[in-house]
Amino acid sequence: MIRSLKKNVRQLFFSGATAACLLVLFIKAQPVDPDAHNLLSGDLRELQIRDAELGEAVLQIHDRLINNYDAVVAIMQRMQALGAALSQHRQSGLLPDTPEIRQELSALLQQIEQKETALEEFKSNNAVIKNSFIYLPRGVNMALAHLPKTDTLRREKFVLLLRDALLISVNPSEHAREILEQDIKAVGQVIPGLPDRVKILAELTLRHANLIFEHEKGMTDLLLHLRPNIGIGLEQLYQDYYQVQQRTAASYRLLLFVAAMLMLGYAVYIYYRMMEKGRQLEYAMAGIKNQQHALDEHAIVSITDMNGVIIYVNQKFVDISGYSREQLLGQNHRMLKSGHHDKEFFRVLWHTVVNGNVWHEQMMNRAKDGSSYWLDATVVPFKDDAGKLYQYVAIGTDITAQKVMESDLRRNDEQLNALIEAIPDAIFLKDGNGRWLIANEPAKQMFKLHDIPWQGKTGMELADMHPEFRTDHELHQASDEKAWQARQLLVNEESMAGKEGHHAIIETRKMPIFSDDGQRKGLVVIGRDITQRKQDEANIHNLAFYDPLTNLPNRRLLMDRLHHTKASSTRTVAHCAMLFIDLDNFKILNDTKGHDAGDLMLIEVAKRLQASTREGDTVARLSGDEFVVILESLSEETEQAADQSKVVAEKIRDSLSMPYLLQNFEYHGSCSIGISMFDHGDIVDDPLKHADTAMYEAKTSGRNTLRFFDPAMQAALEARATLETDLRNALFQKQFSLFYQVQVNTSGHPIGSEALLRWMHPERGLVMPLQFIHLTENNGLILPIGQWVLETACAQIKAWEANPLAVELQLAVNVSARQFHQPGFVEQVREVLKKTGANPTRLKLELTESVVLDNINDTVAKMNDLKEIGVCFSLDDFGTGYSSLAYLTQLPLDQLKIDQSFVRNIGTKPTDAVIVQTIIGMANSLEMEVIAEGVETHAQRTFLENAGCMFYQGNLFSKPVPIEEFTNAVLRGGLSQTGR
Amino acid sequence: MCVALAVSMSLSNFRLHSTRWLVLVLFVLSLSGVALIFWYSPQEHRGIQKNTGLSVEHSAGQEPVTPIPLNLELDARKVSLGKRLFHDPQLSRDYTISCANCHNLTTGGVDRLPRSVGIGGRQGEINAPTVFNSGFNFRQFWDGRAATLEDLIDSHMQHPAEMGSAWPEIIAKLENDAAYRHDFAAIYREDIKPQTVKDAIATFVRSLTTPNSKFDRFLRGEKNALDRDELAGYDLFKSYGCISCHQGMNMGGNMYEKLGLFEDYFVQRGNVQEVDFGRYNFTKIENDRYKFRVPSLRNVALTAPYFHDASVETLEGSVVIMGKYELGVYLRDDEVARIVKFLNTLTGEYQGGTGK
Repeated sequence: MIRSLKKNVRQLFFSGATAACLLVLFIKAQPVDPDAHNLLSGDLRELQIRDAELGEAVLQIHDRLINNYDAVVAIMQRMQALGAALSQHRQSGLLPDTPEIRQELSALLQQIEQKETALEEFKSNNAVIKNSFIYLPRGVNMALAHLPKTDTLRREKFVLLLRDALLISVNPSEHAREILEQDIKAVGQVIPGLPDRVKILAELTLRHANLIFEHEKGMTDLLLHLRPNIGIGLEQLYQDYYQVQQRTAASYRLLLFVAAMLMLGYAVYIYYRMMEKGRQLEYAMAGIKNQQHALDEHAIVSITDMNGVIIYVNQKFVDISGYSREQLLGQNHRMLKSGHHDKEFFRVLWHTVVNGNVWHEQMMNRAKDGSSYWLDATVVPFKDDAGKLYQYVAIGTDITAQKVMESDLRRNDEQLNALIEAIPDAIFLKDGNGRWLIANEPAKQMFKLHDIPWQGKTGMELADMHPEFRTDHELHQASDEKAWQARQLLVNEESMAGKEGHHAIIETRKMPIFSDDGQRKGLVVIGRDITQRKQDEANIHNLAFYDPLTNLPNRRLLMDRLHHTKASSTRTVAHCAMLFIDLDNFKILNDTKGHDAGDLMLIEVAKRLQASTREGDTVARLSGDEFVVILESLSEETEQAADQSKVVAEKIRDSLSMPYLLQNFEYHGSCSIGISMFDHGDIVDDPLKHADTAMYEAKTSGRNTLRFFDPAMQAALEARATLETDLRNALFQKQFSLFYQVQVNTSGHPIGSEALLRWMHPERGLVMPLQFIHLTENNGLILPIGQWVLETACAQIKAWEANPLAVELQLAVNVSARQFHQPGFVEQVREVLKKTGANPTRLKLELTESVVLDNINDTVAKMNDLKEIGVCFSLDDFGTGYSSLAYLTQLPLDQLKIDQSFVRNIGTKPTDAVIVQTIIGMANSLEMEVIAEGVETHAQRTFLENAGCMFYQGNLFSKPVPIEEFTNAVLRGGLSQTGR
Repeated sequence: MCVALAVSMSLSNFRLHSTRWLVLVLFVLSLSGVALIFWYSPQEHRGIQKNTGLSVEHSAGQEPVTPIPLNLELDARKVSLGKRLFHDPQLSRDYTISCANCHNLTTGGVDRLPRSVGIGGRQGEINAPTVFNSGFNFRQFWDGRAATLEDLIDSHMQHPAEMGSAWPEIIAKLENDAAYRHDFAAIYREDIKPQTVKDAIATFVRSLTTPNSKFDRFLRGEKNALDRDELAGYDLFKSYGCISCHQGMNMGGNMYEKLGLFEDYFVQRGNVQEVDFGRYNFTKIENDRYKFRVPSLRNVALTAPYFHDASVETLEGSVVIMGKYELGVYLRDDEVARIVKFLNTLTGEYQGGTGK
């Protein structure tokens, strides 16, 4: 109300303002008041007209055309009245009060006044002149009548007077005036001579002429004064003012016109808008009618009064209720009660509508035939203008079918729910955004949903409430996403943090549901706990691939591993080996001590096998007492690989040969091992077969042995074993001997010799140390052989004492690392020197860099001990190892021996020459001797000499030769061979 | 169109918002007003001023005198009121003098005294002219100092030697009179005011005309209205130049002329007074000295003594003096007699009588 009031006030205000604006424009648009303008301009015009009339009248009077003054008097009075009127106009504001106009007006009034004055004078003068003109002819006539006709002179003067006076009235010029003046004088002169009677007349006549003369004089000026001349300036001013006013007014009129047009336009606009609204209202009314019709067609409509008495029903109501309209009208609506709803239902209904609110509910009514029908009913209370309820309109839709369907649906739903709840698998339904909608009991248990409001939550939101499932939710969400992406059923296994940290494994089946337009709609997730199954599967797997007793891989797994091994060995060139191990006499154990003891035995064997092998090797139990070990990543060299295999096999054999504590007794067992080497080229089955074969070989060759399958390998091994055996024998059978190679100084003089071991094999002939020394180092023969070499060399030193050519020579003996580092080496040397009686200073021990570096402290101590008794040391093969200068200074060395590989390259490889020079320079600065071995050419020798190396050894001087040849030939004549 | 629009609007929308409707009506009214303005846009000088009836037609060949109109269009009520006022001595200070005291309508509109007598027996300075036909005079007083009868009345009322009154006093007196109050209220919106009082008296005075004299009848074409002597007198009147000044309807009263054109009237008369200076007293122009308004000769036979100074008792004497001083002629006795006869034909009728 207040709002509309304000609106009204505002509209009224605007209307008033508009009206006021229009009024202002209207007033402004008024030019000078037309009546006033007409009056004023009329007065001005008339004044001018009167002025003109006055001028004309005056002239007519002057010309005797008018013979009274009434007209001019009237004109003058009129002009004066007009002047007064104009003054009045100015005072009343009709005539604008501007300085110009004021000035002009006062001038005008003054002019009128002047005209009046002039007019009065004119009238007076004119009367005089007229009178005199009337008199003059008669006066002259009388004068002439009294003058004798002969007195022509004087008569003529009077005639002239009359003529010229008349003339002046016709043409009042200055000349005429002068003539008249002369005439007057002339007449005046003749008068004294006239007779008395004539004299009086003449004087009177002259007086008249004089009056004419005098008054005529001013008449011209008076006529000029009375010429029409007034009011023009004022009228011009006024007209200018009026034009300006007109123009201004015209502008405002235009403005007003525009405003009027605008308002007209607005009015037309409003009119059309109102018309439009009217039309809309009609449409709306028609629409309402149509809607009512449509409503009646669609809905069941009834109207009751305040007491629930039916006062209107539509056809649909009649149809559905089964009652006729007559039966219904005037009855209370209660007659349709079905009894389905309780009292509270109706209480709420009435309470709602009585309070003026719309009631909406589904309700069941009973038809005439007793059948019930459902309505989706809306009851709308209607109020009159006073706000008092006067009727209720009930609009209902028949939803009986829907109700039936709902009931069916609900039943279906219940069944489905029961079904879902009955399924032991966890079932979830999520919507397109991952929010959980449905979860059955197992599902709730799985995620502990009982104590949290889980519905409508996403996995992440649930994780906030149960953080222990966070990881699971994250994983599930990821797999959900996969299912979405796949757009089809996705079966997955997902881990799940179960109770007390045990991980359960859940098999999930995720079925994404999409809407018709491809949008994500829902996701059905069925989760089954398959933890037990998985364990069962693992057990089955174990049973299949593992020996239950020893837990070692069984034959099947072994074959599988072989595949893998084969696959891996194809990538590398490493050899593999299969060890086939069979326990000797196991059957006897089994039979005598029972299977339990046998089983214990087998378990222990398994443990020892695993202990004897490396991590990556495979230990398997084939059957009974048969085990297999697969060794992988062996050496690339076949022989070495065989060696490695053999070492392991022997280790196993040793291990299995250790006593077993079975139950209460100690058991000594052994095993036979068959070995087959294989690599990528072998077929899977072959190694096993070969190893088996080899094992049987081992068995047949007396048990507790091992056998290789490869015949060549077997042969090589056997050959080596033979060589070893031969080596052992060689010492006893004195098959070893020493060769000597001379060492010379710059002048070629022998200054020493190096003792070099040679094996004279009875069958194979001369065997060089390279071929057997590594064997001796492995089997320890190096020690007795080294002992022999040392003793032999010392004996030779002693022997040379008797030979003058050889007495000065130093004999260099190579010492192996094992030999040098064995405890009591220094004692051994002392013992040998003592036993042989050789001069220790003649003995020079050659150590390799590896010897030195093996145990630097031990080395230094031993060297110092030996130095004390006079033994010298030379560092052999210098330059090939990694000797650091620090060691070099620590060691009490006498000599550096440049390795023959450098010497050989002198002249061909500049870097080696530089190394040689460096070594020499270094030795010199450390005050050590330098000797070069392998010198074969003069050029080499010359280079070495120039470089500062003073001692040489090599074929240039002599090859290593037996002692007889050395003593006889080399010492004697060999020197000449140097070609000195 | 606007009205049609308004009607159609109001009809079609009477159910709509009443205020809006009101606004619309206002708009339409405004529009109508605007339309009215344009319809009534001023037009330049629509119709010229009404004719004043004046004309400057020359009168050559006609008599220089015109007859007094037989009828005048005057407001009878004003005339009646004016007549009462004219005769009301209340207008004078001491309730002794009315206008009619000096302008006795029964004696030719004059008191026939050389000098009139005002309140307290005070004597005026100049011979009072007749009130008859004074409305035709172009100015009032001998020296013409009053342009209108109203001014003349104003002057007489307040002149200390005449009525010696003052307007507040006069108004108060008149307002005390119920009859005046009634009559003034009936005629004048302004009631009793100096101007209404003057207007009433002046209107009455303007009604004091004397048409239908013998001469006027002659002028109107009644050739036998004048006998031979009278006609001869008229001819003399014209041929001796009297007509130069005494012309027009009032035979004078429409110009000034110097007294003593041919001989010095005042020197020869002697005892020159200030009042003898005539118009000079009013204009102070030397040329106006001794100039007087030429008096009307209507009813001249009734208004002796003559001249402003009342120096002549008879018409014959005044005709001779006029001939001598103004016309420069010496009239013979027979000429004078004829002229006097002619002057006697100038007596007109007032309310059927001659005022004798």
